[in-house]
Amino acid sequence: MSARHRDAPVRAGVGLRLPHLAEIVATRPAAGWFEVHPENFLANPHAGELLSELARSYPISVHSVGVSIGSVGGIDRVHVKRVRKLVDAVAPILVSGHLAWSTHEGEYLNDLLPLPYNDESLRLVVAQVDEVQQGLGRQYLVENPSSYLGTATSTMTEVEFLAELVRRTGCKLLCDVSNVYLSGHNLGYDPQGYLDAMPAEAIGELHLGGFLSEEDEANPGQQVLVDTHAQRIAEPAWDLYAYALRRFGSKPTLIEWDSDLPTVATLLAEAARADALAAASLEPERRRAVG
Amino acid sequence: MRLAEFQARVRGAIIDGNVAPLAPLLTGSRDPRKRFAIHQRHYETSLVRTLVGKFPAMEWLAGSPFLTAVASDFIRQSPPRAPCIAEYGEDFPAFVGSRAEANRLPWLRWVGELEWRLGHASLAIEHAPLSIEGLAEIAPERLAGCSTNLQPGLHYLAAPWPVDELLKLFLAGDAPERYALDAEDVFLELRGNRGAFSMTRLEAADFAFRSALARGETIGSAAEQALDADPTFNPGQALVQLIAAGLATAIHDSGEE
Repeated sequence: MSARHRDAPVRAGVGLRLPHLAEIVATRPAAGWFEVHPENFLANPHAGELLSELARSYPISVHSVGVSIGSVGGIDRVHVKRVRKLVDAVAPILVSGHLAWSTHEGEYLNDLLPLPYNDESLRLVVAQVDEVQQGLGRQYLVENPSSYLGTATSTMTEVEFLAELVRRTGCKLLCDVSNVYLSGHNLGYDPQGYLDAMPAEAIGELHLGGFLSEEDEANPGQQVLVDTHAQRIAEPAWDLYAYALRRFGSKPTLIEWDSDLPTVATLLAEAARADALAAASLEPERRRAVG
Repeated sequence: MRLAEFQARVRGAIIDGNVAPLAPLLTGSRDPRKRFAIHQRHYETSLVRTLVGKFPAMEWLAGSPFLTAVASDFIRQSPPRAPCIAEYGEDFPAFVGSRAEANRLPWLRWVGELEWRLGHASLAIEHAPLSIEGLAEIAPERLAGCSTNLQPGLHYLAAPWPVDELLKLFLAGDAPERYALDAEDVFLELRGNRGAFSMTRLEAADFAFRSALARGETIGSAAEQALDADPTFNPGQALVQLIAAGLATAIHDSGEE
């Protein structure tokens, strides 16, 4: 596999979305790194040109929302080839996608849809992650989904599924801490227990994103958390991030905000908070090492 | 239950709204069908918002409730076929035009066709243009069999309404209270580069010539179509004008050994 990409900086980065692109090119803010969705740039040569320019000054992470490693009809090979072209152009620090599926018989359903966790789906996802890693010529990171539902045909937990995927493919994991909190709330499991069960050595990146709490029509009188990436990170997610740092150590962490975009300064302030939390969480360890 | 059947049922629940066959396969709340509505809502709102956002002039002219309702139908009849949602919606203007409610706005489809092309033109990056010296390298008797590459940001649109005028009003943001629009064939050349774009009206023969070249046809074939539109058309002069304007980037002699 290619080793042309640079090492990931162990600090927080922010999402680079098209409405901010011109401002970031012009002002060159002090960001640790930027994450892009390739789907926003592949159909936009002008934006791709600006991204290539930024990639000379900043580490870039490529996070695909369209590879669909869980589709029974196979991954979109044409799309993977297009992503590979972008990857070769910007030499990203990380390339990642989701444990989910989005395509069905040529239709793209524009969502990250749930998979049952069983032997059949594991065999499929293993084969398709292998194919993605071959197609991209590098290691792929797989992100845990935000979940609202389970499936009756699941025979293992999500974290067991992910651990086995790592073991069979050599892929790494992108642990979305907000997704762990949200899914734990929605499906009734302990988020810290989920993090405890993740294979720590496989964690290559963390995500933090905003979610919305709304009336749960499926459970009257209760709230459901909806993954929107449209607001500030909630305090319980920050608390779980601190726990994740103690469990996994400091990792490149993305502030994920995709809709109702705030100012670049707001994004950078959230990133600074993540960096400060990482420094504080790891300080006792550093002191022990020095002392 | 095999995974293929599960995914087919999820697809049916999202696109067709038929959740009943899926519901027994879901867990995680007292009424999983209502939880699944989060996925249905995401498909609807994300795609409708994206589609309507691509056609701001159509929305301005026809109103948000109308365009949103048509977009909601469109995403079920013609779901995206690829993950780059920026490439989704080319057929939306024709779909809008096919609706009975659009009969009172016969020009609306053509405003959308123009917006779609301008949206794509402005994302392009121009290449180094072909020079007159590059053209001179081709022997004159071989020119008719040659084809050209045009700038990636060039698009051509023939419309039965002067929709370029409507778009200019929209962009200027100072539309009059009343505006009379009469049917008229217009032949538009749209040129975009790095976020900027321009619109130029062409004569019918120039349009036939340039749009044929843009489709990859030979210079000879493009000239024939232009001469059909105007017997006084001068292909040599038109080719020189095309190159002088920086619109061509390469010329290929398909018969060259």
